[in-house]
Amino acid sequence: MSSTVEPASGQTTERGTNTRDADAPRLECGANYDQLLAQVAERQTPHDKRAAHQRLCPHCRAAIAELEELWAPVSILTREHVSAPAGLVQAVMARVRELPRHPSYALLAASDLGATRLAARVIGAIARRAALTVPDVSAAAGSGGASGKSAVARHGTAVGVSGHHVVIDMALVLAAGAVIPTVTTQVRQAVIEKIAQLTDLTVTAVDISIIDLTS
Amino acid sequence: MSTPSSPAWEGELVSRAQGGDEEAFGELVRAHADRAYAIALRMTGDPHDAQDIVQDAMVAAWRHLEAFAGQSSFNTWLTRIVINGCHNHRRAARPTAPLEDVDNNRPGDGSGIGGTWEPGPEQVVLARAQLAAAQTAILALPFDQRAALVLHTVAGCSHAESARVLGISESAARVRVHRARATLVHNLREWR
Repeated sequence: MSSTVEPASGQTTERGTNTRDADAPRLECGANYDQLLAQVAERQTPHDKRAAHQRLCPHCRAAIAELEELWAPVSILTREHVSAPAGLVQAVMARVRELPRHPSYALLAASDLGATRLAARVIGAIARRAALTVPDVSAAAGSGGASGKSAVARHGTAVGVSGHHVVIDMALVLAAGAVIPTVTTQVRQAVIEKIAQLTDLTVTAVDISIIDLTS
Repeated sequence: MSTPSSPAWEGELVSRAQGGDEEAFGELVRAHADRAYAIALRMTGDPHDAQDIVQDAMVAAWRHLEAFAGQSSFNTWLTRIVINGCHNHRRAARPTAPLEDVDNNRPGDGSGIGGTWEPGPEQVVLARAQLAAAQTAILALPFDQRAALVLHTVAGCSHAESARVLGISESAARVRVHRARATLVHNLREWR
């Protein structure tokens, strides 16, 4: 009787299904139980020889009847057309419109005549030039832009932008003997002032990595 | 203009969306919302969780659209994001919602009962219990088997398509569906 057939989970591997294997669960007539299950679940029509056997075999007929009964609610559940809730699309698009159009660009104040986006690498360039105006800053490394990596990791200036907010991560080379806390304070002040002067962006943080000293 | 829903039409929309066209992305969302929601609903068994997962997946798709290189279809790519969302979802955040009461039935609500057929009260209760048992049995499957089964039976993916979504071989996808069916039948028989 089919109710004694155990699931075949221990008899298959992900290298390939073995619904035709000799050790697959079988009915008394020799029919492969897993093939019957696939036939019912997939609503397959067996080929002529197998169909003829199934029409006459009491074991197959009983097993198929039971499988059809067991599988019916699964079939109804999985085949039913489900509509997305009303408002889902609008909710998605509302969230999309709240995001910056491009993660590599900062948004300047919007105008009726259009939006202005500032590439992150431009912000990085402004920051580096501002840093170089500070005494004892010998170099501001790299050509910065939007990046998931830190300034040190990318050997440049990493700039994070989100709408009007900017976080700058700089990699600097200082003159040997520079008082580092003093220099970094001056660099932050210079960067924040210059970006405020040239753009209307808000600098949330200026992270500084000292990567080398010059003699 | 390409035929709506054709690969060329979708390709045009993806290209425009990658250029920042929100309206084009909105068309893609509309085209894929039902299918994505159906997958998430059967994966989680909870309409609210499914809605959250699909919303997050769609927004993630927009944010990472530039990374979509077209090596697979947009549908495959989006489905992968939905499945990952289901995987990462923490059901502990919200208790499982039971299927709706009989009085609240409506076509396409995900309960499986609806349409023009009007069964008697006892049949409705029995059918609802069977459907609830089926959903519970699906949820009890290991995630890998559940994902393969839902993709194949709900989303209508071929084993090859499921394999692309799940990042496994076609034969592995086939075996997972096979195992899921066997486990489902075993459990449903035990629960009768």
